[in-house]
Amino acid sequence: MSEKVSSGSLVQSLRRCFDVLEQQQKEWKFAIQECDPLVTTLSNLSDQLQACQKVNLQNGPLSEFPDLQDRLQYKLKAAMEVTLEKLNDKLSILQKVRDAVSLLVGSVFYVYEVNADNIGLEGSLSRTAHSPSIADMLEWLQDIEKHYRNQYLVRKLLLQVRYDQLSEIKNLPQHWNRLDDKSSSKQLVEGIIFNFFLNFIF
Amino acid sequence: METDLKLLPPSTEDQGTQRCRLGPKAMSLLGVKIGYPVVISLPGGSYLCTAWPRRDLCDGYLQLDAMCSTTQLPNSNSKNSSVSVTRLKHLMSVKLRKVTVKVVLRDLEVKQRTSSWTVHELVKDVLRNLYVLPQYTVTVTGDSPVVNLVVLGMDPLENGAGLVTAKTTVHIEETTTLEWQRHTLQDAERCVVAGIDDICASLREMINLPLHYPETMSKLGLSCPKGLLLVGPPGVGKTLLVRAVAREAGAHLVSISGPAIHGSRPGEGEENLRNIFEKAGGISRSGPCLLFIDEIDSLCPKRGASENAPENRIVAQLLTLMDGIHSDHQMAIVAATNRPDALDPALRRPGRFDREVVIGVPTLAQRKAILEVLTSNMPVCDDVSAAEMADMTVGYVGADLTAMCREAAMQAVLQAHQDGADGRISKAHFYEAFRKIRPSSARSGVGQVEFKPVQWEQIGGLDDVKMHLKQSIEWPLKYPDAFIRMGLTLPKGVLLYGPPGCAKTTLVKAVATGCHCSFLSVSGADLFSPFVGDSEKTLAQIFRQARASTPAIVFLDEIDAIIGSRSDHGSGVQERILSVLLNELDGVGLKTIERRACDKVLLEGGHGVDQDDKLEFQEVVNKSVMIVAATNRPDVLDNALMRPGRLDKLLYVPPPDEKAALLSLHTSGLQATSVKMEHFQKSLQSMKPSLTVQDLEVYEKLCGKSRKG
Repeated sequence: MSEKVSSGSLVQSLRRCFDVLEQQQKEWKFAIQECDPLVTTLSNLSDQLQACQKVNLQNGPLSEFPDLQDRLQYKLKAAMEVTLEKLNDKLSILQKVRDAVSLLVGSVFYVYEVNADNIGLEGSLSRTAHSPSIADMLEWLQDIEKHYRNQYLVRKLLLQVRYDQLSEIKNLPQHWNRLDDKSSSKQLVEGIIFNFFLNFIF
Repeated sequence: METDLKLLPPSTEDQGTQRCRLGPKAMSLLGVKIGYPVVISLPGGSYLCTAWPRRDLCDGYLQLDAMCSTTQLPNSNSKNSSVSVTRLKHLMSVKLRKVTVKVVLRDLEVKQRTSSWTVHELVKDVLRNLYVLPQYTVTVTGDSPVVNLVVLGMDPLENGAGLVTAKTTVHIEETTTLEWQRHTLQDAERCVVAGIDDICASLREMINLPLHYPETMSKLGLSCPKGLLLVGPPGVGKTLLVRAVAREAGAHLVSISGPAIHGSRPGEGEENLRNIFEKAGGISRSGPCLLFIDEIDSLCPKRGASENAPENRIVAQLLTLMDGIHSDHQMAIVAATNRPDALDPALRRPGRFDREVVIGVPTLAQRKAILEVLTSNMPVCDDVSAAEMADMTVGYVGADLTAMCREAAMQAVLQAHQDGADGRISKAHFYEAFRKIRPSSARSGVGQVEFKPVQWEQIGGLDDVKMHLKQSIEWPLKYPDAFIRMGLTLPKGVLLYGPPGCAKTTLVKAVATGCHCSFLSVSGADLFSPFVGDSEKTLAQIFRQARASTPAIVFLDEIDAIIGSRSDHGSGVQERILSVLLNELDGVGLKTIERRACDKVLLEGGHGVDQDDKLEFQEVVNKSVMIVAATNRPDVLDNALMRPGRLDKLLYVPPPDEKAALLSLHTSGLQATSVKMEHFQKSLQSMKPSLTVQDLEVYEKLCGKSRKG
């Protein structure tokens, strides 16, 4: 009897968890999508800044304008700052998603720990045609949480740019997009989970 | 239920997750729940994993992710071996408040490029939700700048695996590079150095002081002495010492050897030197570094001695690198050489090679220590004693002793191969090896003779001469402390004189066979040479060799041919050789290069040795060289040579008397063919004695004079 109750409460918490996860995944995807144009802008600006630093304006028709080079550089740098700020805002959204997921997964594991004895090993491992076992679901949750954490950190580190590394900023969009591709296997897993979920009856 | 699980390689999805996959029966046997920590002990090391069921729920298999293990550089051991369930142990999970780690980065460049904040973030991310144990290594896969982490400590330290949560503080104790870690692990085999502990201590202090007490150094306002010059004969252990000390102090050892520096293009040698110093300087920024220059006398000869400009430039470059304007390195420099006098004197001043240490030929106690260390790893029989072997091996240096032990081991192996015996090394093997290996100090040239060993019994008669010889030669060499105790001065030399053909040389051979001393024999042919000053050098070298391998006997045969008297008009050479000999017998002091550790001899009653006695014993060691001279014409010899203090013991070896003659016949081994008395009487009639009565009288007169005087 108590076994049924414990497993029931665990299953409920799992279901809630996956629901929230679905939402968070949507938010994450949206934020990343919004980041893409910003990253491209940033790389364009860095390209322009690099060119501006290299060009020699004195020997051309533009030599009439005073302080042209410095003003251009200042303007470009200001634009880059603005873009970076926006990117940081998106990053903070990603951070919120990450924290939410960590909290959620933590709570699910806590519930499992509390009810583990009652459910027993057999209960955790039993799979049916229309629902995965508790062990499987716990595994997926752990993987998802780790994935979000990793992704956030890598993206954050990638955006730690400096003015003297303009060539690196130029390559930023490539790295950024590569992050999405690399984690394609993880994306697949998540896709499967959510698809499964929509079809499950508990 | 089977208790053996087959070990399979982990699946790629489990990489970096610290999971181990077990079957359900194994999990219930262990009593673990999903996600709980488990320690698996394998022959390669222990692995800490979280227990998860296999996806296919099969029993009898085990897959584990080697993320957290005790092996510092885990190599994938995906052999299909089987692991018993007893090797898995279930641990309790403890939430950590704080964990201390050492971070290993990919290389020096990455270390300089990545900020400490980035490293901290990366480390925190790796450790999150991970179970750790102290002294375990967490390996990070992928191309992150962090390669692995070593867990140094955790708080609270309880009997279970610690779980790093969001609330755990991660403290990075040390950041180092992969190369450094590999270097400290590679030196697994410890090389032990015996017998030169005080030098070891001096070198260790030089490396460790600036490392462990930098504030003291800066408070004193001075920098620690950084240069050390090791001087000593070849084979004595200079390179071995440096390697052992570097390993002990955990310092990185960069070595230069002379020939490697020189290049074909002009200026290439200087460039190589600069590169090496820069590399060593770079390494010294991340840990203690020791630069070892071997055979520095080939790299830095005296400038101006040869007008060889490229060589002079290399010397100059080395001088500036060690102490010039651009030298702000923090590493210790050690150099080794056999010929310190060939070095440029600018090198030997404070600021470059501040300290000079002389490592001499090992004394008895040092040899014993070395032999003990060498035989500790070898399967030797019980009757082999290091003290006995140390006694036997006079004049052997560390390299010789190693060669001897190796030779003995080879003998044992060969014998075991032939006999099928159990292959333990016995005394006989050591004796064989001892006969084969000659000491390196004795390998160079002059004075080495080989002769068939002669026992005292093989010489007939001459009992009192034999007794005198034993007293004057064997006893002072073997028991110097007894002589000191009784307040006697040791006799330095013995002169054997007598008619030719009376067994003087044989007597000396018997003496040499009787005591285990190094024996050097010099004749006129060795000494005389067409170059001026060559004979003196040869004689001085012989005495140096004798002093290096004390106790020693130097035998000067037919000394009247080598050394004339100074009162004659005398050919110059003989006079000069005489002066050399007089100085060697009785000169002032001890050359610093020939310094050796003094043997501590305990007086009776077990009192310690105080300063004066120490010095005296050291002098005793210096004087442990006995000169034995043999001549037919003692009247020709210089008086200065024959005074007490030099060749003070004059022994007359008489022509054989009757008893002696008969005895010598008996012992000459003619037992096989029976010789009758008649044959002897006939031969006695045909043979004439070589001595006339007048000669005998002269000798008797001389003998009487010395006996009375």
